[in-house]
Amino acid sequence: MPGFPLLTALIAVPAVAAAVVALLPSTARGALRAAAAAGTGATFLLSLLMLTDFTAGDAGFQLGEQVAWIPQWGITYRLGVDGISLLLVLLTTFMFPLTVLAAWEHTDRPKGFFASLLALEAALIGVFWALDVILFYVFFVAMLVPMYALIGIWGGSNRRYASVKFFLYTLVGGLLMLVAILYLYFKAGATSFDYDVLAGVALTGTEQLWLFLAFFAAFAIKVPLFPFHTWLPDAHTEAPTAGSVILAAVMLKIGGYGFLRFSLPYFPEATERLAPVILALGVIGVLYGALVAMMQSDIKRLVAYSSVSHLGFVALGVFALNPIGAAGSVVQMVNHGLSTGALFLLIGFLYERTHSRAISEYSGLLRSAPIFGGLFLVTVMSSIALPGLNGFVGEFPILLGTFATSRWAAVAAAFGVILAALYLLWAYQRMFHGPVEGRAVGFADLRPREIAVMVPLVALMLGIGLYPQPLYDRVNPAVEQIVADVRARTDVAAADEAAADEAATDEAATDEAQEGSP
Amino acid sequence: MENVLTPPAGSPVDFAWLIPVVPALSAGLLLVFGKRLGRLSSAVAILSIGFSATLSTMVFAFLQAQPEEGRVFVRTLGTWLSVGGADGLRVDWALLIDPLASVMLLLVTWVGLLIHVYSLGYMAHDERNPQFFAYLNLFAASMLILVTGSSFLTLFVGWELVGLCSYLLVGFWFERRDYATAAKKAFVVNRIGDVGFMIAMFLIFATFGSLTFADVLPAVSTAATGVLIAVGLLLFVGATGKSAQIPLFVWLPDAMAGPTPVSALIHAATMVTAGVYLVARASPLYLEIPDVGLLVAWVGAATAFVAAAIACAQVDLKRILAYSTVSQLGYMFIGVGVGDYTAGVFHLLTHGFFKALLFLAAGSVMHAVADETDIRRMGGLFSKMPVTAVTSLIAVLAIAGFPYTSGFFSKEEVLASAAARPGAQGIWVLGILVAGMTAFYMARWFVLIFLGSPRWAEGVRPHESPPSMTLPLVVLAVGSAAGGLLNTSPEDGFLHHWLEPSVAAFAADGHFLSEGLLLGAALGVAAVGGLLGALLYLRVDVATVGVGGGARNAARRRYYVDEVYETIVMRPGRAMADAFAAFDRRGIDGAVNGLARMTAGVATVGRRTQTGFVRSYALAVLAGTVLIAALFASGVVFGGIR
Repeated sequence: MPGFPLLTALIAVPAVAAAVVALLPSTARGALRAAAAAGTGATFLLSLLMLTDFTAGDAGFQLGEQVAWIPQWGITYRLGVDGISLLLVLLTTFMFPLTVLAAWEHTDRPKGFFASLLALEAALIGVFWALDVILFYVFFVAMLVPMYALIGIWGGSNRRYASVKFFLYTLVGGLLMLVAILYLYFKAGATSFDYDVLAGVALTGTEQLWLFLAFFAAFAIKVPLFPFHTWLPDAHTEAPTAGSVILAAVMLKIGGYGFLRFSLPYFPEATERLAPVILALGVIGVLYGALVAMMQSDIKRLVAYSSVSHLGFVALGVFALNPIGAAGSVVQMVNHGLSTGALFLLIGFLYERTHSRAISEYSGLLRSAPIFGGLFLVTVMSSIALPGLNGFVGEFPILLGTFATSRWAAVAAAFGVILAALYLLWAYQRMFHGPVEGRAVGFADLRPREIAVMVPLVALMLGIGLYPQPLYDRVNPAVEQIVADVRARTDVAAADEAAADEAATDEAATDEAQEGSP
Repeated sequence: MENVLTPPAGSPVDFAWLIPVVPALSAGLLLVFGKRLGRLSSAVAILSIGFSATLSTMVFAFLQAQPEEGRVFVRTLGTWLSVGGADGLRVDWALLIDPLASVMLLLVTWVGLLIHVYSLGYMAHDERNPQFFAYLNLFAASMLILVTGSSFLTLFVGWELVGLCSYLLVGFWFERRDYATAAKKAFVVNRIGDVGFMIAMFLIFATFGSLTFADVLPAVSTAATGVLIAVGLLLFVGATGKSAQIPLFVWLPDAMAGPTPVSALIHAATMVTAGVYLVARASPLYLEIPDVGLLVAWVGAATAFVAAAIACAQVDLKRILAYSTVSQLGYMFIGVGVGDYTAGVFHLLTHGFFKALLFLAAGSVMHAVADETDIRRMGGLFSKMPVTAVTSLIAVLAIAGFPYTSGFFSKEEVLASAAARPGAQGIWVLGILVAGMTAFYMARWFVLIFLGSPRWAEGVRPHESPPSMTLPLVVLAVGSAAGGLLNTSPEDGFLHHWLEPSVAAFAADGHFLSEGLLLGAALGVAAVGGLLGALLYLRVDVATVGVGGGARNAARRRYYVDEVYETIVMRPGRAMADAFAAFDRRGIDGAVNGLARMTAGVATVGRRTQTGFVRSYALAVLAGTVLIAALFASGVVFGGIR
């Protein structure tokens, strides 16, 4: 469909739906959720057009849209999509309808709830599409508000603390990033906030380092990378199911996305210099997150820490600085979204029935609810990267790519594979195996609506595990280009240095020769 | 593997991908619709594995009809992974069908089929019957993926999936906490080995740029020896996990918590043979690093000995068999370790027959005596269940190496190869000792169960099992008795020639003893062990069985290996995890909250002007942003921007 602003439409549909929900009477529960379902469903169907409109083999941005926005400051409304943002947006549009369906029975102030969800979807899609850095920042901050509301209003007993913590962490990181953006802007001549213009700014090594760190703050918190992760367990645990699902499935991905979109292309030398440190943080995240997860008594907290572990892999793959690792990271982000999103949905079903997240209060759930237990097990297996399911096809390339850069990092992170099996299967055993006791007594198995939420997820886990190529075909060109650019620009820098050295040596040699001559 | 062919269209090899796919689809079908299918489930499962068995046989016949140098085929289905562009990782969904894979296919599908049939009777009254058959199907499919994988990574898919299936089946009766624990243990211990396998793959890819057998194996001689040694050791770490060798054998004896047909499947046809298969598959690699091979053989010998000693002291009929498997796997590793891959695979095949038979017979016995597993409460069952008893006897003779049974030929070949390998004499001595111990504990097993006076509990009415259970026993008994025909002599037996295109040839350097003496020693020791076991336990007072202190107690307690692991690995691990969890709460988060409190303290000064918490922050953000922008504009902060 040439000329149709598809990218804008994907932001606009959920935004309009949010407005519609906001205009509906707050007592019309049926209409509210129908509107939410229609909005997210339409967005998903619309996003499927990307499958045909997007050319898989191309590396650059496609389907670009650009309109002047605030011309006196050089701010434009510029959108574009490459393989990376394509997958993350498809993940987003896929997860939202399922989240709405899972929240079908939501009764507590449904108007604000569904409006927040829809606004959140619009902002998240905007973050991935934006190719003007200010526009990116606007969406980055805009997504905070509905998520803050979801946690702070519809969250658990400790929601105030969790929501404020979430808000402050993200904002502090975001502000540091904004400082860096402004610095780049003025350095570039204060004419444009365009993504490509700012990428072309020539920076000294020191400048790169500081600016890299400022962007890094925003994204490392989002990933979250050790030791910037402690907001996550609180936010996840206190958030309502829908909030946890979207937070885990989509919002955390902005961290890895930001690394690939900004950190690497904007600051290649700083990236290369700091990569060993970040690889170390990634490894620590993988192992530390897993060990801490093992000791959690709250199943939601356990899954939150498993995210810290799984997303440590994303940092590894990106900062391995080779195409295998980076492509693996993008696919890992999608896979983590599916499997952790599914885990939070399942825990939501559990919580709706019993209002308890304590692992110790359950025993023998597989007996009382075999469908629930079976789907939970599939999701667990996906999460611990069993080959044949989706987790493996991301994690293995990440480790393979990391090994090429840093052997010890890959070897150490590989042990995370054992730990993942340990903490998830241990939790599974305590809750699902054994005689039926505690809150598992009289536990009702999943209803058709809940099964309908899970079936697409499980189908994708299996589908991606067996045939991940449609994902990699779209991701490969994009990450290859990003990594090649980093290589080229650091090589140029290195060559400059080498040339300078050589010149110095030449001079010395000439001096010697002159001295030697009579 | 230099000469890899594409299978002709329409040939059985062209359709070989259906061999794993059909049982896998059947498993999926049964998992989703099993409840509705009910009794039909078992029929679907049996038909699907029967299909695979038939097709495997056709594949075997097809290969046999090909000229010797044209028996290695790769059937590519499509790309699985193509990551990172031109220099990236590329792995296809593809099957490697060669003589080695074909014999493994026959073993897995036919023994698998017999176990499926047996389960008809054995699991007839279990309420989760459809699920059980689904898992059996999945287990067979996983193993079939493993043995047909054309690359390390596709092999690894099957490798991990059999781990999953063992988890599902060992924990089939998950209501019992100890069974659930055994299931988790099986999975986790396997995963420890799997990490070794994974790291080996990283190294292989870094060295050869590929994970496909046809790329890597012909090129091994071009790589540095240090790399090959590392790869060989790491792959073997994986093998010790899957094939239950020292130090990762602890999961297998616990794995008998699953229903008995599952034990038969795990111990004979699927799963534990995977490690041996991996080493045989990678034989060109191990050929380059004979010292690593020798280490493999030593680990095998030590495992064989330790497990046999433990088996001598156990009183649970399945546990004895479980340790026996660990011990026999040790023999297989002796074979592949000293470089005689044919001997190792040969023992794998014969063991598949007699161990499947022993486990199925054990299940038949348990059926007869109301699920009793303590051999001290059996005895005198021979006349009550003659088919089970006679077939068991054949299996016992085979595993003990009685002349002309299958085990006789295969074990003899393993031992002869060890004797022919310089530096492996110690291994040979251990192997001979283990042969004696094997005969001893198997005689003890048979005598205490089937002979002597009846000791079963009041009210138990022993009876022979239904035909669906005894028929597989009879078929396996034929295999156990006659399986030796596969390879009657190491030099010109069938298997020896058959496997030539697949595995590296064994270069015998001449034995350190004459062949007659070698044979005599093995037979003599086994005869002594067997007779000792039989005579001792025919007239034994059962009150003295399974008691006693000192060495016997240590063996009965499995040499405290589990306790040692608990103390040196699990407990420190838990303590560390605990410490990290506390650090996360008080250390990192404590610092964050401390910072927040400090900020809040400062903020109270200007607080009166603000009402909402977040609003104040939003305003502060705005003010801060404007300020920073202003600072930038004037170049105050960084200076020299303009």
